[in-house]
Amino acid sequence: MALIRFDGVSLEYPVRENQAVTLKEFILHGLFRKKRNPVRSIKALNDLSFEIHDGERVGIIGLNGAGKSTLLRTIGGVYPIKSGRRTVEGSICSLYDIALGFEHDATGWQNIYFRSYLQGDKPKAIKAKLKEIEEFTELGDFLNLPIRCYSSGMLMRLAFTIATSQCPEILLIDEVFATGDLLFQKKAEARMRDLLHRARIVVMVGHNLGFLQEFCTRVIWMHKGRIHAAGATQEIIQAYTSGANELKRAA
Amino acid sequence: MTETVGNRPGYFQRIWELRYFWFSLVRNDLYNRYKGSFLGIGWSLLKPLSMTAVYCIVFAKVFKVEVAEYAPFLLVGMTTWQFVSECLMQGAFSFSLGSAYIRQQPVPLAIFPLRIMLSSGFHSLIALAVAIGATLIFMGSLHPVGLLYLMPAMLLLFILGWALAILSGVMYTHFPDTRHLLEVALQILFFITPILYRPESMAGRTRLMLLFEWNPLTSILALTRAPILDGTAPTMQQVQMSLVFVVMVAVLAMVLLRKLERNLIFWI
Repeated sequence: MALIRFDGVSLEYPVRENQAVTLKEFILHGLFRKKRNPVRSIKALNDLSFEIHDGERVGIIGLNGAGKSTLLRTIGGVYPIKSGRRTVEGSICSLYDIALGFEHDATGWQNIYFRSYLQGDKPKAIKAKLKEIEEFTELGDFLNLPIRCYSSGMLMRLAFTIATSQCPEILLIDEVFATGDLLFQKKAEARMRDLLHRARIVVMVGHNLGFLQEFCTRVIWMHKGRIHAAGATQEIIQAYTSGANELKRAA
Repeated sequence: MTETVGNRPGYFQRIWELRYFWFSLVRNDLYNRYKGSFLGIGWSLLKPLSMTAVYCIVFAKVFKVEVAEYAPFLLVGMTTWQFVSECLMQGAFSFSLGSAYIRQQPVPLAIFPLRIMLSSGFHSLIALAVAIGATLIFMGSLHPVGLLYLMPAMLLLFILGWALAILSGVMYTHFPDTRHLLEVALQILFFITPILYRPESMAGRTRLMLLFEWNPLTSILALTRAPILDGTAPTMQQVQMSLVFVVMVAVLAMVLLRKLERNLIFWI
């Protein structure tokens, strides 16, 4: 039974105005004078509470900087929370920044192994899936070339295929489809639907409203680190399309 | 403030579960380091070998030291020193090198210093093999039984290397000028550790002898020097000092990492 539950979760991350503090500064100013390079806390997520159950496909939308990607990463356990309670049950597979997490000089095949190992797969299991992965990416001979020769669309195909090859219970996806072509989007959509029988929960951040509309059962609209609205896909997307402008002006 | 993530196995267990991942990172590091280079692995041996050659010549000419005895002594010492200093210098960057992976998936962060230590360890093992070969050539014979004492020595050195890499990485993440500090500190350390000179040769100078005695690295060096050069185990005192030192560093590394690991991602 997969489950994601956030109760009053807040997340802050520290930022220094000057990039980093030197050891000298730390000793001198920390000990004797008020710091000239104070740490500011940016409240990225503010008192979030929601629940996502088995079988749900949830989209997260919002303006840039609203905290969507932060939320996704917090669900994935990458960012630590400051307060509240985060409960996530089920194995997680996430797809955040597709260009990251690849070894650029290694070939496509080697990177399949890399990323799969990172996800916790074992070599035997990966070997069994290799054919399937190759077919789905449709990259063919390109898989023998180093990743730095790939276009971002190709990278996305590779990353998406590897992430979805593991049959996780929770799938977290962050705006990866921007670079995929129409055909691949359709393929990916079909794969995700199929995955849903295996992946119990899918959480997706995206700006492609049409895609979200077709795919998601529920949508959460984030604004400035809070949940602005949440509910049925159609409703929220409509409200977002018409309301986003005022919200931005009011900000 | 709590987080529940279902069933959470222990830290070391999680590291073991991810063994394919960090092992393939190490393999990739080594491959990249040598791919396309003319000498390949020869390059990583060049540094201790060439430094040994230079010091040998200088010391033979200037200080009239017996080369046949000195060269193996120097080589073994240099190799061990290089391992320690590499773990410290490269360990500093371990987390930023792995930042892409850290942002992708919650993994036990000790993996990244481990990767640095293993890559460095691989070179050092090869260099040590060369040093053993050189000892055979220069001194004419080896004590094979003595070499068995190298096993526990390796284990201790690996733990030390890992712990130092963790400390270095954590410090660098919070204070970028750690790098420069380390460079200077290692330079100083190089000369107050008996790498170039035998510990006994400073018999008259009490203060220097004291420095050597209290420098934990002297004992660490003895861990590899005694088995290879003398064919014996290091003295009880040296073993004790090494153990205490390694345990202290390891505990410090574990405590610091445990405390800072959670929020480290914000600083990388």
